[in-house]
Amino acid sequence: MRTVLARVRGFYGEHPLHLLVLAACFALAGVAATHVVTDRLWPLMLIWFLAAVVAHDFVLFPVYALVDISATSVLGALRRHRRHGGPSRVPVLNYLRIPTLGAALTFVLFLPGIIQQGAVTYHAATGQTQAPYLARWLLLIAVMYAVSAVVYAIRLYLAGIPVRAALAPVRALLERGERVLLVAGGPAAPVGAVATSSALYHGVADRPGTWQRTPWRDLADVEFRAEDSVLGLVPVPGGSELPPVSLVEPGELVRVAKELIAEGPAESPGRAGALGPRTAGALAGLVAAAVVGAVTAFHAMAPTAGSLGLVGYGLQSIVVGVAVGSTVSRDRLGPAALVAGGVLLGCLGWLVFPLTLAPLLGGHAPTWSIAGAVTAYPDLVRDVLHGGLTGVLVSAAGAAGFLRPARSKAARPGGVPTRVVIVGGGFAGVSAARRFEKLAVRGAPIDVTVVSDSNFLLFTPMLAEAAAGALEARHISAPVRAAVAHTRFRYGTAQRIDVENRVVYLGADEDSQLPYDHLVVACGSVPHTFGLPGVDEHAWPLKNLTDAGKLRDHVLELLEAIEHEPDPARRAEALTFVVAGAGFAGTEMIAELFDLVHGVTRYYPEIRPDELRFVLVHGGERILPEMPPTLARYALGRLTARGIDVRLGVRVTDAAADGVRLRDGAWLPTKTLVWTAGNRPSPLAGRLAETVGRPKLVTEPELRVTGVERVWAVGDCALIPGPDGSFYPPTAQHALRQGRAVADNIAAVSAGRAPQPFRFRTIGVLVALGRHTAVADIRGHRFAGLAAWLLWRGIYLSKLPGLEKRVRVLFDWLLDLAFSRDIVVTTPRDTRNETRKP
Amino acid sequence: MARSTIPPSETSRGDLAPKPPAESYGFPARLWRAIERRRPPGLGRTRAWRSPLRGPWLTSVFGAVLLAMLPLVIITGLLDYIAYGPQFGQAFPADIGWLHLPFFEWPTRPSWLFRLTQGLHVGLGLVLIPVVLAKLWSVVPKLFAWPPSRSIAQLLERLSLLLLVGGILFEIATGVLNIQYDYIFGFSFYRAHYLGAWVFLGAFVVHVALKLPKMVRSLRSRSLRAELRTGRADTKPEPVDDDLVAVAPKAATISRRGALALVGGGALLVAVLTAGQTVGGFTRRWALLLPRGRSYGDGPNDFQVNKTAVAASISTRETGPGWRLSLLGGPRPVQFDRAQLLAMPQHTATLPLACVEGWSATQDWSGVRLRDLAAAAGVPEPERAVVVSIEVGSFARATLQSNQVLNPDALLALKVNGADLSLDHGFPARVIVPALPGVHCTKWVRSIEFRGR
Repeated sequence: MRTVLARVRGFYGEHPLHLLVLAACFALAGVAATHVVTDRLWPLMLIWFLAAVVAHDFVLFPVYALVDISATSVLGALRRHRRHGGPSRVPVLNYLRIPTLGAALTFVLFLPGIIQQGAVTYHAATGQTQAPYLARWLLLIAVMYAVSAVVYAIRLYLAGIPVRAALAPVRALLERGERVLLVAGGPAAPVGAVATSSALYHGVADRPGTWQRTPWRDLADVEFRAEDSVLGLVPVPGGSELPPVSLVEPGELVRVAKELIAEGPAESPGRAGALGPRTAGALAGLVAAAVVGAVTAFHAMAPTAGSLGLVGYGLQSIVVGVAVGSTVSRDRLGPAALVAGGVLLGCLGWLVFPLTLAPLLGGHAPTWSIAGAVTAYPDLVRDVLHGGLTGVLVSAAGAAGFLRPARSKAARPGGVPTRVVIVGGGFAGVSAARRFEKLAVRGAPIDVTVVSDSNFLLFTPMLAEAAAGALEARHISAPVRAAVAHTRFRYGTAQRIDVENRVVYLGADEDSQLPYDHLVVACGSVPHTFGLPGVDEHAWPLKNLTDAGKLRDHVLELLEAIEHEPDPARRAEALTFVVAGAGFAGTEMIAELFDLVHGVTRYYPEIRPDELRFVLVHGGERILPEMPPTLARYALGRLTARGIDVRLGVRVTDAAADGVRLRDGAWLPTKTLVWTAGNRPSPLAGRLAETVGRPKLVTEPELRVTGVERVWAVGDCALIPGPDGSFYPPTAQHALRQGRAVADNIAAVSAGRAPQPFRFRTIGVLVALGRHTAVADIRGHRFAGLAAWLLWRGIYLSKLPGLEKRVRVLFDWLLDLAFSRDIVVTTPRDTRNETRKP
Repeated sequence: MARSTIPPSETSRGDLAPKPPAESYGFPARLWRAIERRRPPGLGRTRAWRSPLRGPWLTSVFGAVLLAMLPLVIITGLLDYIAYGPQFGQAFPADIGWLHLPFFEWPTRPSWLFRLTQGLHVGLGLVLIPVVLAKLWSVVPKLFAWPPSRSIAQLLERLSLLLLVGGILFEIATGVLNIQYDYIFGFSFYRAHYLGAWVFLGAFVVHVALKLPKMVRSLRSRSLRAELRTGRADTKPEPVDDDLVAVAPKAATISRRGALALVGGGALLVAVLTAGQTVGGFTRRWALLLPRGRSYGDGPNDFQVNKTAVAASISTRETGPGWRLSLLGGPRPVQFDRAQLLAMPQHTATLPLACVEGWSATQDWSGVRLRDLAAAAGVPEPERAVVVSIEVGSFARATLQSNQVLNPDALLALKVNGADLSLDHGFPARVIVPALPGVHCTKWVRSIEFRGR
């Protein structure tokens, strides 16, 4: 018996009883079906049966899931990007989701009434029409959203209470004139500490039993891990027992604590400027109401509702006044903004009071009709005048010093702005400075100085083209002063950084010291020749505009000098061009050199094309290691097809004035070795790294330099770990984003919020191969040939800083299509070799 | 130190195909394996399912609610069929073979019996819609599971699920449209809804039989009380060893208790928007979006109308002074005009007018007892009575059982709430019988034929 069962199971997949009950189910459905098919409309019933499944599973479900996913991700993104004012403590998602689901559910269930479907049968059955349902449904969903909004507001308020409660004792301490310092550890080790004028109280934050008091003089014995977050605050009641700490969101707490400290205990009530902004607003509202009321009464435009109307007008003016005052307390606002805001609030008041509340109080439903608005038009004039006047009065009160100073969220004690020094005027440094300008517009109190040894931002992706003479060198660079017009700029080189005293030295004298609160190191990289003999002296670097111009002059100069040279050996070394390193720069350089030389040989009739030799030397197994292998293979194919000699797997071992030796022993006679095989962080970054005992400037994911306080590093000079632990590549697109991120993080830290780790996924890589070809890999989409070349040009043109430069480069390119390359040598002959430096 | 103990479920999460290799295949195993190997993109246990709430426990909670409530909806629906008097062939659809509850004589006490059964059927049916939708949401990854089946047994079970899901959605769709008088589907509501119910019933019973052990097991896997104490931040996915649980869940945006409250709140919202249709009184106006939440005014005749006189093509010519009530079935036909009827002994009863569309309205009806009329016709102990209306159409005649004729509160009503019936409510006379479906309380009565034993 058991074996039979096992066999049935093996065949059927379940116990035979399973089959039995399912058979019964299908049999019942079959019987029902026999009674259905007697109806001639049974196919329609079957269609509806199946359509119900399809409509739910393949329409309704995907639609609501998609809407929910979109809403969740949009709200999540908004939440993450709300950098100012700190993240909201109560996520808004469910307060939208629930009324929306309610609206959708009622819409689907009561659809016939809402869209007036089946009106004839409805009327026959009830004697009524479906006309009211749409309005009722709209009212219902409005109520649902409104209730949800009210509940959200309550939750938001309640979420704020623990913070306020936790801070109340601190406020008391401050009022007694004691200083409070707030420090604490991360969530794993919730260390807490509170400092008073005499001692430090410290312990595990949520275990009051562990707390102890250490006088300041013994503090050296206490091992204490301070971080930029505060988990909780404790009051210090005379050094006796400590109550438990309430744990709240750190960023919020730090922000409020800083506000408290910034306010300070010395601010006693009764001073001249002690009028609260809301009180002042209410007073201003009343005064404005009196003035405007008198004026309109004079013009026989006073409210017609008698004494009740006067009381109502008074209340309205107070509400509008308080609203105007509240805008002052939230932000520092100029007179223009206050007056405009007052006018707007006056208009809103007109909608709320004369058009809505007045009819309601009179027992009628508000109509909001044009006729009603026309009747209330004098009220509109009155309310606009009144709102504007309230704004004027509030700003005047502020200017006259009657108002308590507005609290600024990120203000440091004494209101001194955070001083930020950015060393380096490359992509990273300038993008950080630009971001700081934006943050300053939004009210972040930050004072930024950019230090750079070149007063322009060089667009490095086009450097090879400039070196090949296709572009005018000046056109690919933009003055730093123009890019960040509101930022202080110092032209000079940062010689030394004193991280202890937080000073950057530009020179020896007093004037050239730059003290900072936060330092951004963005000094870029310099060519690295690994100490190979002769390379430093004889190789051409390609890092800046000067290099590009000189290289071009050198090549043209060689062609000029060699044209009538009879010695084949000397001709060979002059007409051989070697590029070391086949990364982006090297590959583009050899292609551009090839285009340059071949483009101008027609001016030199004695130089035969077959004498020209171009060699690309690369230590790796394939060129363009940053590119996908297929694209690298394509690029290699294009280069070799032109006759460019690509040597893979060999390195340059030494160089001389007339040639280069490779690791495999080969000797390449040449007078032109372009070095792109290695870069290293600039010496300043190296020195800074040495102060913390590291060979390189490694940062934390938040871009802070590991081990150095208040120093941040971005761009090519820094090693910035990504989420997977590997370092971000030193490219312009990363430097731009790192600059922005570091500015946001410094603003966050000075406002008491936590910095965010830097995250960026490479958008794509583009390499021009000359002759109107390129390879590109954009988010995994690969392009090659003319399409990629157009893409290269389009993308980089759009990335050029400033419209003027874009137009100039565009013209350069257009002219380059029509005319051959210029062979003018611009550098005077005798200064050429002295100024050339490694 | 706390980081070193990663729960085992965390480590296995991320495995896209956590099926144990011991998964057995029924006949024909090669076919099932071949299908499994050819997984179309997007199907199967992919990372697209991100909700951390989905899992056997949550599904079982919804399932348990439906298991408790749906039988009530089904039974009240089947009882309502009996209320129409199928023994007289006046319940629709008529030809249903043995697909019905055992027939019995529909009682007249309590008078609110039909109001209760019909109100429960429609009201509870509507209230359960959010639960049904939540249950379907919670199991929707199974729809896209791959392979679709590993044996004939699974294939058949999936087919039965088509009947189950199609059945419930079809019943919901036709029912919701019907109570709002929207007959967009075109076919006979009665036949479709009644026989659809039997298709669903079979699939429902089988589904419960097959899944009950798993439901009980899953319900025991977590404590409801503990879940109700867990906030959003602490909401973690259920163990990953069930294929309802997401392999790559996101952080919870709502807690499990929040999800339960959301579904419960949806059901409550529907309840508030529905109950007034049956409960009446001040709750009627809460049925904001349903036909029977509307007010007709304050007068004695201002209550819910089912089929207006205009729609029934009743003219004042037929109902005017020339109207006569014919009583048939006795030795000879008897005729009364309205004045004669008013002269007979009058009786007043407070009775609900309850309709199959899930609404009712209780009023004070006055008129002549049907049993007095039977006596007047000469058939004091009728076995049944056939009431015929002036109206022409499907509900123009209704047959009453003997208990429905003889009940002391069964009336030929002439007045309602102290005033003459309005034309819409059946002037000059209408039938009102305790616990009788409203559509059988014939309006504009022309004749009553009492049939003896």
